[in-house]
Amino acid sequence: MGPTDFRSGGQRPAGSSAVEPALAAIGLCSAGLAVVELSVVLANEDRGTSGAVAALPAVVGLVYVGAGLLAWARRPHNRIGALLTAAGLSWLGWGLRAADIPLLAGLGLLCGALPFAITVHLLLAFPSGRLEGGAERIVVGAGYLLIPFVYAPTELLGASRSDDIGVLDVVDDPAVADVAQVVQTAAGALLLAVTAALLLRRLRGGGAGRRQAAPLYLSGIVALIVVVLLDVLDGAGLTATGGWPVDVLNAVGVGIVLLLPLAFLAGVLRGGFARAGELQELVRRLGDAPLPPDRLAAAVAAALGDPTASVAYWLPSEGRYVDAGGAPLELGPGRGVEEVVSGGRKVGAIVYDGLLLRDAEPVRSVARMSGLALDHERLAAELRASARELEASRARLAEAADLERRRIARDLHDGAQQRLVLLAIESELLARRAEDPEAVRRTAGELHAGLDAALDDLRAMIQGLVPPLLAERGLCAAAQELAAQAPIPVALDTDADELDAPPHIQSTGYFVINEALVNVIKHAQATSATVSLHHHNGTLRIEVTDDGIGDADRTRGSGLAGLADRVAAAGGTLDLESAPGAGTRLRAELPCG
Amino acid sequence: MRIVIGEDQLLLREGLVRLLEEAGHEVVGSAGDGPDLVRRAKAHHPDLVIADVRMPPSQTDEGLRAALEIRAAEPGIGILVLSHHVEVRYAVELLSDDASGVGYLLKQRVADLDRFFAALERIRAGGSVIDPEVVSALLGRARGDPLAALTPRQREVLALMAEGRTNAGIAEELVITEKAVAKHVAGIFEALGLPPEVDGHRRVLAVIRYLDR
Repeated sequence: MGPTDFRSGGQRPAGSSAVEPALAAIGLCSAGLAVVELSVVLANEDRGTSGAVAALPAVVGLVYVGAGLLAWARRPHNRIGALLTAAGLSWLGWGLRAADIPLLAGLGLLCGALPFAITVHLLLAFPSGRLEGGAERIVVGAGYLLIPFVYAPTELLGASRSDDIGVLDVVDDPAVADVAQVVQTAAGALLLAVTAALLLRRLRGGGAGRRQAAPLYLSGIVALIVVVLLDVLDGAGLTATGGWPVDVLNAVGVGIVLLLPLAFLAGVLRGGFARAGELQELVRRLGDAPLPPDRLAAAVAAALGDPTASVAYWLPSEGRYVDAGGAPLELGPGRGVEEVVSGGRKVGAIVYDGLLLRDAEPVRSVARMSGLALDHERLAAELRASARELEASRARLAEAADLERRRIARDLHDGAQQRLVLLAIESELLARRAEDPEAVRRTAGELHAGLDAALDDLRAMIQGLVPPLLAERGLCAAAQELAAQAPIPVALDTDADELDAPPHIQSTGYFVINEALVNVIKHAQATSATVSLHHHNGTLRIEVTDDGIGDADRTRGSGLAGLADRVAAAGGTLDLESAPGAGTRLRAELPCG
Repeated sequence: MRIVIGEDQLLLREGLVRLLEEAGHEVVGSAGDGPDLVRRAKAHHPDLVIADVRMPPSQTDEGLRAALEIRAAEPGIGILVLSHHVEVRYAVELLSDDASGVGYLLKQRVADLDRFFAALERIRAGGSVIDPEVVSALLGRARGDPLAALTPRQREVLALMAEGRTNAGIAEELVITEKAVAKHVAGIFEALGLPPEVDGHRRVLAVIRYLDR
């Protein structure tokens, strides 16, 4: 399975399987609660409250819980998911205020301030899910502290509110209640102002990711403003009388409140928005070593929010990128490539959607972070690539050897064997003609001629198998002979008469030169060629160049493929340069150690 | 004549010894590898040494090197190098210093007894004998040089010249007149830009040197 085969950008890390049942349980409970609340709302519709308004907490709560659970499952290390879920639960809790059971209704009323506090928390914790500064922590803490110290007392004092159902009214003193209401509103406004200031500061100081987060921050602040404004209007007793400002505020509030969780979810899951959080996620995942193959690609894809992102590994020996399976990398249009360096060496690259991620900075961050892990996987990929290549080349060699044996058998059968049978018959005829000296002489002459021909056949065959000159004099002499036999002038450039290379290396070298010259003569339309043969530092370097038409393709000629296999089997490398019209240069390097 | 044989293949060696002795020659020594052949040749001072190219201990061109060593040490000894295959390069090496008393033939030519014994005599007499295969290999290399201009008949004549034949021998072989052979030879020399020579083996040498330039 290659890295491009991952299922989605948000592939779950190994440890998340234990979390998922719990998340599913939360989801089920929330859905159940929402159903109960909605049925209560339907049952109470005759009480005069607007059904749509009464159903709002259940619907908003469900949306938040749904978005939160999704974010939680996809990004288990990011607290945004948990916060969204908590916000959803608090909305559902608030929905309980419509219950007929007084205790439940009171509990629901107390939940009323939680969405506000959690929204502040969400905005300040976005995108990583963590509160990064002291000011943020204080503001969020204050938001939560407002509930027991300001909001709850206000409710307990029983302010004269439109939605007051009087359950918790401990002190029925409108004057005290009004003061409490003012304190609560002021506290909420203060909290809102500080939060907005913090977010604005962040927007001014941040990079591209922050700028992309701006719409979310702004809509969050608008949502909070709407809440505070409604609170103010409520306190002034205007909500009961209605009027267009209240309607507009309500509409905007409902819209934003419904969209906000989805915006958070998208921000957590998709690129740009989630970078900071996802980079941390990536670091955590890389820390959970060892990563199974193609998990790195999935982690990188998740970190970039680009489901098509993948990693490629650099094979220095071959000078090319391969995927995790060892297959050569193919780049489609619009793909961006960011080099990954580890220990000062190029170890791979991150391949991403260049249109989706126009800003390469986060890719560079991911590249910096994944260097070590990628290098580790690169070695594995290299191993797989060479194993795959080895397997294929071994199969081809076995096939070539089998074909060769068949050819030899066929040659012997068609040539020497046939002739010898004829000669055996001839010798029998010779014995029968013993009485006739003239016939004996003639038959013996034919016998001799036949034997000569059989010997010629065998000689030609042996020459084809292992040229005697190669066996007796080595590669230089054999190469000279090849050059001399060629129908075009072939210059031999060598600095030694004899090479101190093992016989099998010399045989491979001979095979290379022979095959190269055969190709030059057959296909290149060359007027001359050069064979160079040098032995330095334990490496035999062979180069065959011609001035022909070029455009020889390694994959086109089975001869060249067979050559590459033979060279690889001897532990060497083969390199072909053949631009159309520019001649052909075949280089082989063979280790002699 | 007195002969020393260097041949590591036992059957062939025994066959060769029998053949030579039947023809009235005396095989004074036989060796199975290069160094032994040199030793025996120096010890027996034969008229002729017959050497197989590929022999132990290296199984490479041991016999050829032994032959060249013997020749350098005792130029009076005739040399006949035999092999299952022929190489132009070996022919050139054998002939390049001094072509007198040297032969290089395919092993299977031994079976052609008349020619084989005639070749032995020519070598002892200071002539040279080159296998037709060598000549045809050289002719096969013609690449737009004067050799390409030779007629098929001239090529035949050149091949026989390389074997060390005289014009009379060539005339007999090709069933043409000696005059006609002389005309062909002159044509060959003209095509190759060589002055005609009387001495048979010098013609061969000249041709080979020219071809293997």
